[in-house]
Amino acid sequence: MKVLFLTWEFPPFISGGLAMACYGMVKSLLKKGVEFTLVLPTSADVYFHLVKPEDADQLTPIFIDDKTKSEFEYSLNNSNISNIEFLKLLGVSETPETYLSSSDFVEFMSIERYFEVSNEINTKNILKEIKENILSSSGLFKKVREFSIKVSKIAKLVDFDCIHAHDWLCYPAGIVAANMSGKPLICHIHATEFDRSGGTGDERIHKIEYAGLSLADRVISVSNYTANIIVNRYRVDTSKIRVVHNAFHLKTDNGEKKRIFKDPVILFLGRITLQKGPEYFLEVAKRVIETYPLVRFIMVGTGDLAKRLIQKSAEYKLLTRFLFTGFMNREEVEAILSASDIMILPSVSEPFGIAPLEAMSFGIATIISKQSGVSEVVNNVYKVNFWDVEEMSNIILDLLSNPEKMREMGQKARQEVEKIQWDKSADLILKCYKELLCST
Amino acid sequence: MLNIVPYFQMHQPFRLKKLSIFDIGKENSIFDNELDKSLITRISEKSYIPALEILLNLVTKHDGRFKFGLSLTGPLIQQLLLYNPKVIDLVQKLINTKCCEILAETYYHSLASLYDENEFIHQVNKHINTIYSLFGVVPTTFRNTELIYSNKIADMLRGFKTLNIILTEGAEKILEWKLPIRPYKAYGKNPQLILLRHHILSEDISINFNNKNWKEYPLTAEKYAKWCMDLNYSGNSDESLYCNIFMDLETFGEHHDDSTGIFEFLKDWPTLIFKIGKNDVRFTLPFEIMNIENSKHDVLNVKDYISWNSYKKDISAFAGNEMQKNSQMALYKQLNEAKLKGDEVSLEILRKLSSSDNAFYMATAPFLDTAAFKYFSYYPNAETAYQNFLYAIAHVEELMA
Repeated sequence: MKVLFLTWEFPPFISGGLAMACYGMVKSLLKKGVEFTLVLPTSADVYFHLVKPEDADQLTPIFIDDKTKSEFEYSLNNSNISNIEFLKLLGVSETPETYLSSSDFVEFMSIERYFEVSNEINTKNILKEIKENILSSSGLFKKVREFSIKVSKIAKLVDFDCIHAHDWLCYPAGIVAANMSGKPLICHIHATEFDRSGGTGDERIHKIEYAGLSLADRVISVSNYTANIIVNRYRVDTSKIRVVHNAFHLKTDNGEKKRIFKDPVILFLGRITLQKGPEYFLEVAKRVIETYPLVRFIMVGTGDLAKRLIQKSAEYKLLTRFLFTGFMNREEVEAILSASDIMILPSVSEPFGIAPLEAMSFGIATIISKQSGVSEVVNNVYKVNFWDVEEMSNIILDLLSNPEKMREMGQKARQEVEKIQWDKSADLILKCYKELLCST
Repeated sequence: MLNIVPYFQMHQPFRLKKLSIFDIGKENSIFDNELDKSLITRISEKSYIPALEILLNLVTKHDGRFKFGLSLTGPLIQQLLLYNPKVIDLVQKLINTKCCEILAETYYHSLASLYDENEFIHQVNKHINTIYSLFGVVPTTFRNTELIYSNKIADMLRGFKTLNIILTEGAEKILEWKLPIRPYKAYGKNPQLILLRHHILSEDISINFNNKNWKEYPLTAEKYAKWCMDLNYSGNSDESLYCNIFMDLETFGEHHDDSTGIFEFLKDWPTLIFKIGKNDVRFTLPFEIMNIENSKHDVLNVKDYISWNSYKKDISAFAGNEMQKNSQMALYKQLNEAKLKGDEVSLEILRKLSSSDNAFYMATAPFLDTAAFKYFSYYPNAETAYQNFLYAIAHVEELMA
């Protein structure tokens, strides 16, 4: 079983949900004998061939042609650099960019032929729409175009049985590869534009999501919550949707707490964007600190609302009880988790939400939004409506005044999350691959 | 008679390292001594030493008729003693000529006057004591950080019987129809005399000197000396008037590079003042004003804080936004806890953090002089500076907890 695996994010650099989910499923599927050609939005023309489970940790690049390879190696005077340094040089992005930040328009450019392979009228129209969208824009859309071109080159070079594309940034490339090779396409949906924008969102992205999900032979949704959204909003044929909840790779050594602060730490971990509900976290902090000042609220992440929240938190005069850290890499995220006691995921709309699972594995008492996919798979957490800051404040104040209860909650959470392993979810994905191969 | 009263400010803060949340509560120092050292070394060589040598030569050349005020903050003194004591020796030589008056200020160049009266008094005392033990002189003139002033500051200084003169900005909004060339009495029961900076003449050197778009560019010493002497026509012939020219000493050689001709300007200007002004002009030290002035003075009523910063002459660049207010509140809260606990080590760290520079790095005021902000701040933006400063205070909180 060989899979062309397209994703915008993958560790070691990115520690967001998409990266960790991709890593988790790839690692488990490698154990089950699946081989992957992994393509990332690197600036260098490379892909990664993964055969053994260890390959997911030690990404070894393969250059598309020898000329680029020799040029690249020539520019690398010192070959004794670490793998991470090497991947950085390949242009693996260090920060998540699955949401749109800029969109200037430029001249029409070159890959339109990749979209002119279908004869079916309906498909043709959708393809025309995306083609126009990604060809006429710069910024992130330009990167989507470049990624599609790169994938088209790789699709000619390597052998694969199906294509597995993650989220809208990779759907155009997935469509191109499927049309070129005639192999089945699986579109995995980790987040929709409706979640990211908290409202209507960018129409160009909606069209890409619609096209990808409509053209895919299978759609994997990370939760029932998200499956409902794509059925209601994009009218995706329910018979081809499979729900596969994300899971979590338990680290063996995350038992012991390494505290930074003597007072209890309450954590927010995620992009500081509307989708993640950071403002509700701040409102909770304000209410809790009023009655229980000896705590630390820590907001980890970056995003377009960061500046506004920094200013608002200063306005609330929370002194040093509310701190921002900015973006954190994988290692730092683990360090901050081991220093935390309570975590809140106040997402307005969260397709899955892997951060709470990780928090639970660190024995952290966890509060999650009911508007999340993760709430479908866990029980030993507090489930609240994202807007209910009073409820969240009350839970926190209760836990702060009952340290024993807080510890117990963390312990139970930890035991529960140990059972949520990628192994089971990977079986469902493998089943999905096999179904497609049988039907072709 | 026109009295020319120049005064130069010397200050460098202790700079914070770029901290991460994981540095909090660790044993390592949070200050970046390497960065401080490299800056002190550079600024001493480019500015302090050449400028002070020129000032010393001017005193000798004009037989003690050239005089000026000078103020050095505690953090700068500490760093100079460590990295370049030659600057301190030069200051001592200047003091010995009796033509250089050393002023008093808050030891840490802090904003304590805005947030904490007890701490303000402590820091002024500490500065006066440091100046006395290092240079053997007792200051009688006070300048607050950034020349911040209001009636409240005169109130707080009333207990300092030796401080009879306060320097501040000749801001139009407090003067209205009055002129900055006369001394004023502080408001209410406060006995101090206030000397106001002539901000136009001061900024012609400190800001405009190398501005090629300025209509008066290039500024020659002769032209400038004439402008100073023009002030003499503003009063009666028997009246003593004051031309108070205050700026950072770093203006010479650092803010304006040697190549701009700023040092030649400094050398020539006093000579031209004497040549053009003849017997109608003299250089005067701030403290000498007490001997000259015996008449009644108009009272200056300053309800809102003023400062010498930007064209707004207010405190918005240091205490204007919520980040600045929240972080200073956190600082002074912790400072008082350290006092209560008698934790001298933490107190010293917090006091170092009280330098106004740390608040200035968080400036977001829309009028902000971005060139000055970029020069002084070593952070990419105000939010990063704020985050780093909160880490520093949280660090002390953890050490004390």
